[in-house]
Amino acid sequence: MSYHTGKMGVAAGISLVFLITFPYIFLTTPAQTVAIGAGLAWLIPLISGGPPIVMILGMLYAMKMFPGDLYTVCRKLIGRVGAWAVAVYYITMFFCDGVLLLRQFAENTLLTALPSIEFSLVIAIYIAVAGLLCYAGIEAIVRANYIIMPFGIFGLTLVLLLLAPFYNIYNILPWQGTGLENVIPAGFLFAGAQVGIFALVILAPSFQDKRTVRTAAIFGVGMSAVLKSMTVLVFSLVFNTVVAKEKVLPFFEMARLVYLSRYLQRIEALFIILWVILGVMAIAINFYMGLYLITRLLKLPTMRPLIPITGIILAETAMIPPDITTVIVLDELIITTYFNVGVYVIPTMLIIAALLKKKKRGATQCAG
Amino acid sequence: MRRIIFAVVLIISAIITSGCFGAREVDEVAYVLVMGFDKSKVQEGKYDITFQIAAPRAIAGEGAKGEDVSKVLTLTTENLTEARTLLNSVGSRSPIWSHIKVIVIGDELAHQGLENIIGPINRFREFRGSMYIVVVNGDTAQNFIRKNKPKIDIIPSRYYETMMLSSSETSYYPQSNLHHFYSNLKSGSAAPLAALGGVPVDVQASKPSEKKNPPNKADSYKAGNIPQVQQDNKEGGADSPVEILGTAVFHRDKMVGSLNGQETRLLAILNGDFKRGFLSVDDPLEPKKNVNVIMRLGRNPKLSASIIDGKAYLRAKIFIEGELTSVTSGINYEDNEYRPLVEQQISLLIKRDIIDMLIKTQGMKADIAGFGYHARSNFRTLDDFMNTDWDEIYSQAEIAVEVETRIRRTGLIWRTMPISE
Repeated sequence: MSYHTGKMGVAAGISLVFLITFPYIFLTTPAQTVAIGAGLAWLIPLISGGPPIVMILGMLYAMKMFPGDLYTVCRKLIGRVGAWAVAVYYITMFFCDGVLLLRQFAENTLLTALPSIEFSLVIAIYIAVAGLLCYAGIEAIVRANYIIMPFGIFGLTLVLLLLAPFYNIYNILPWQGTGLENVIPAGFLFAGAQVGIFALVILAPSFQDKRTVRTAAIFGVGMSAVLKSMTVLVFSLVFNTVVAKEKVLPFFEMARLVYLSRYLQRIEALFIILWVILGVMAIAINFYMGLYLITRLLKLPTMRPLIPITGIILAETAMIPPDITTVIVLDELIITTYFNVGVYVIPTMLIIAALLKKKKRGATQCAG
Repeated sequence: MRRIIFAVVLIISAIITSGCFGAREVDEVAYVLVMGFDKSKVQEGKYDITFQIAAPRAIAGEGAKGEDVSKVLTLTTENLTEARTLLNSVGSRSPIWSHIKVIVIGDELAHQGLENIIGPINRFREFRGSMYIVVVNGDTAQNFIRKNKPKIDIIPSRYYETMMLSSSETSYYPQSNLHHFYSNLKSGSAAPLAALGGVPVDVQASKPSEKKNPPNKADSYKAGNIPQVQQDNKEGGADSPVEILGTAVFHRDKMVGSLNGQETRLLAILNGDFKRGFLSVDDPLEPKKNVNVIMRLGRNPKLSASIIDGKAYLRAKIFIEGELTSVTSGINYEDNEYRPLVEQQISLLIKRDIIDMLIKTQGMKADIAGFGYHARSNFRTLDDFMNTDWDEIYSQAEIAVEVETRIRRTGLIWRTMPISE
């Protein structure tokens, strides 16, 4: 099997984007969002979904003139060295995302489900399963996900609705939160959390056409942003800002709080299964994308021999940070800095390069 | 062949990740159902932590009695983690706290402050926000837990759960849980509250916390002072489970006062948590007789808080709907001519009592009704609100309450006819 994939449709594309962007909702991200935005924190995920969609649309426009995948387009627009730099950036980005997700999900497993387990064993199991998923291929992952996705969305929505008795609308007052001057820029800064959307552009030839990619981007990020916004809103309604800021696992805390009667309580165990599945698949997608770019760069016939060694490297890297607090702080820092390069800088550079090349081509044709 | 290997590897991973690590069988753990905290009387600076542990074999067996289904023991330790460590040494099983139904706090400790207890409780994974919290009125948590020997719901967790869920029947005590307590503790917008529990005293020693204040026909009580008629008991003293009645009011993490049953009901009316309840008032035209109504909230109360020049103006608008259940004077209060008298009587009573209650809590600097949440809309950002001392502003606030009552139904009689002479 080579790294060239088959023809994926809209459902696969939406599944891919959703899988890369959504699992953050099960980590500390909602608490970090509420810390920044207070009562208006629900606006941040909505705002952060905008720039990646705009950039993807811009890149699709550029790719209309220069067909191919991201690497091919970069070679045409910014040369071989530039293409390599872009590819290396996205490789490190995907692996970094994978490592952070791996570490956080492993820590969360220890915190919620298996407190007595050996930490390195959890990391090893997660990376092994992610490796197996990589071995199966991108289509297997996204197709598995779009079967699981409806259940995941249903489960999440159910938890949010079951918490209705705990809603306190006054927890989101004052409605400006920490102030619009803080919330709106934070929304743009957190766009880095959606940088995985550029997997669509990297895998562009694997999709049926540009319209598929466009639809997948809009609906995938849109759905993910709306669900994240709803989750942050309910989190703010249930826990006031000061308490919300403290939580390591907002979703787990919300699921634990569900109590409708003697017969409907203690349901968090069901949702641990859900977020472990989605978390492992998110790690696998990031793992796959990094490997895909490596094989693309080095023109390797297949990525499979790289899976074990890369898995070991990622696992070891995930175990470097000394504690969970360091990982949470690092995650926020990397999302708001390094990942934003992939959202704003590289696509802008490519779009400008494409426009300049188009103008030059037009001038040449006129002259000719 | 490759698919078979793949399938085998997946099955092995599924088995490995099934959570065998740290797994414990049901008969290897001791389920703590109730936990109590007191200030240690024996050793200064320590806590007496009481555990009520389930005895599953007794629960499952036929003819189980209240004394058999659980065991109570108390340890004197520096903190909760030390208590857990020592608990493992006094029992054959590993303790597990995730099934605790209620946390009981002794009176003295509540007045001292709960800072050292609430923090660890919220951090440790075995505690959850839905656990109830009860403060004992004038007694220790240890005594409260030991004395509680219910005859109907003999399993302690079931007893507390049913008790707290039934609070909405009268609203004489709040359904206080850790989540709400902790949220209010940290929000700076409302006072943390807890249900008030108590150990019954002899009926001769019981006294109301507040004598009836006309037109209110009923005395008010706090937990531990309900005048229960003594039953035949060879041991003497009241023979009944503990009582839960009233509310413990906190300012930050220290208990600063309490509300009796009637005041707690008024608080529930203010918060919109009041479902229904009976009210007995003086008959407007024959004050020696009474009129009883069953009342409910006609619509959610409207609370508002405005801040002008640093002073808060708190407003509450309440709409009560009632149903006549008893008119002992025989006056035809169902008639349009007389009904408004009862409505006005009820409105004045509730308004007066709510204002008195709020003034009492102003003295405690405890915003029990959560006007602070409504006050937030006067600020542009949350930081602006958090930088004010809301408790201080609340203590100086001007309060206005409007109550409107409508008698909608009159029971099974729509026109009272006089007794023939």
